[in-house]
Amino acid sequence: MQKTEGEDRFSLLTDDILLSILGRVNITTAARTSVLSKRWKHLPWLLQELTIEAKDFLPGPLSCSAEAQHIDAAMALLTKAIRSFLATHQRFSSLQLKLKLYLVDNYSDTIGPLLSEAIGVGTVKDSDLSILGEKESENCNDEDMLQQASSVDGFFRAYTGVLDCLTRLSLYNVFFSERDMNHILFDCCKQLQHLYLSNCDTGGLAAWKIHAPDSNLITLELDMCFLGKLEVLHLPKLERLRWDGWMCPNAPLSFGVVPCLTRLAVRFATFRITSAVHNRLATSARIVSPGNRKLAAPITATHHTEIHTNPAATIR
Amino acid sequence: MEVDKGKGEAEETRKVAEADRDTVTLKSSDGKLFEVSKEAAARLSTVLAGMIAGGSIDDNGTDLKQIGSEALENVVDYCNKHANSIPSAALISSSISFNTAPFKEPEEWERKFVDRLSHDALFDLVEAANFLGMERLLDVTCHKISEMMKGKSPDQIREVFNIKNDYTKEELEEIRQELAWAFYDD
Repeated sequence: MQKTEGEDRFSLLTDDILLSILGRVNITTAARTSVLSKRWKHLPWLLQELTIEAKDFLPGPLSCSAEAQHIDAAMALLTKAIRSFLATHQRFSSLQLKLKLYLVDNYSDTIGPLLSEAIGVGTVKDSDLSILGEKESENCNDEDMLQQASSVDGFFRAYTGVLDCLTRLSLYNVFFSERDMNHILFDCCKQLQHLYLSNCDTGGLAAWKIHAPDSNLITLELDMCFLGKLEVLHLPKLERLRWDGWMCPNAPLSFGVVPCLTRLAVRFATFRITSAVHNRLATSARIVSPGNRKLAAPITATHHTEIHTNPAATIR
Repeated sequence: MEVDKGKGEAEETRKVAEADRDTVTLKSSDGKLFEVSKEAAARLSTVLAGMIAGGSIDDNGTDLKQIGSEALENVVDYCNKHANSIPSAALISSSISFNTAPFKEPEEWERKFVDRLSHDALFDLVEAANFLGMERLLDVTCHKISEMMKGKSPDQIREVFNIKNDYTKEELEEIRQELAWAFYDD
């Protein structure tokens, strides 16, 4: 160590480098640097890429499932953080905003208009939104997932402006109807390139048909989605499709017009089956065919399939 | 990896055609010479790539007046290690997920490489990487500095990096009030 006593090398770095460093710490650490010294005062507000996550405001290391009161407190702080950044950024534009939040009514009513306005005036040019589930997927029942679906649908319908520059969307624990979901994802989110769904499905092992000739979707990722079948009828830009934890008895996938598809990864469920998941599947199975419990049988098998492919070769 | 001048001359006598040399010689602000693989230099540094392509490389040592010998030694060391490293398993697509993150986490050797540096050497290296347009090295060094900030209060950050607080007590209090959401756990 030949540290020159008392010299502050850090503050001497250029704004570009300091912003590159601030972009790697969480939003509270970044914002707090403005109290370090006058050199740092405005730096956090110059960040062009912002990630604001509810977990940064939850107490301690994230436990397996956050308590409702903690979620509420975290969302109150997150709302203030969004307001704080969007207010100071109004002079600038082209912000890339990444949000990971819970939809809690009174905060959504503040966040929705804030985002819509910022997107409307061009402060935010690109957004990446994750709507988190309050429960771990294995603790969710159908009612939780219907509730989540209604929150997501309500939020997007109330603040359609939020969807305008959405390039990435992640949803958790949503029990969706095909019609509503396709409308939101493919009619409203015109810029959407990356869609991640975790524990989301149409219920009753029903099929999900996607016919979206105008969609810009490039990547579709599904985790633990109990779809009876995924029929990709038309997604002109789709390059990558991943389906992890597929557990359906039938041929799960069919493709229509997917000229850009080059990577396909399908993995059969390899996890230990918790009773909650088992019950959910059994319930779903009952909806399809009352009394038929045999549908649950294939989930005990394990497979791992990963296909890297050239569309001309294997996709039909 | 310092090259003494005698050895440099011996290489000259081998009459290796200029264009065929597979290394370039770089000269630090304090006049020390370092040799680095031409391929790695061109791949890792946009500035060196431009100089190589534009023929402005001096075989007697290309002057890099902004970079001291300690930092240049680290740059050259990094380039050579990078040239010899085998991509980790994580990068050889064994994972089922499609990683689209723009910055890949530092490799184990890159972590070790920056961990052993003193504060001054780390900041010298950040500046050298920036000057030479070495995106990956800049990422790795900035990542290291960001790790040094994580989980620390502003007071602790000031202490670690010798940052002098030039606010008045009132100014500080005002900012903290505005940013109450960021200080929720204080």
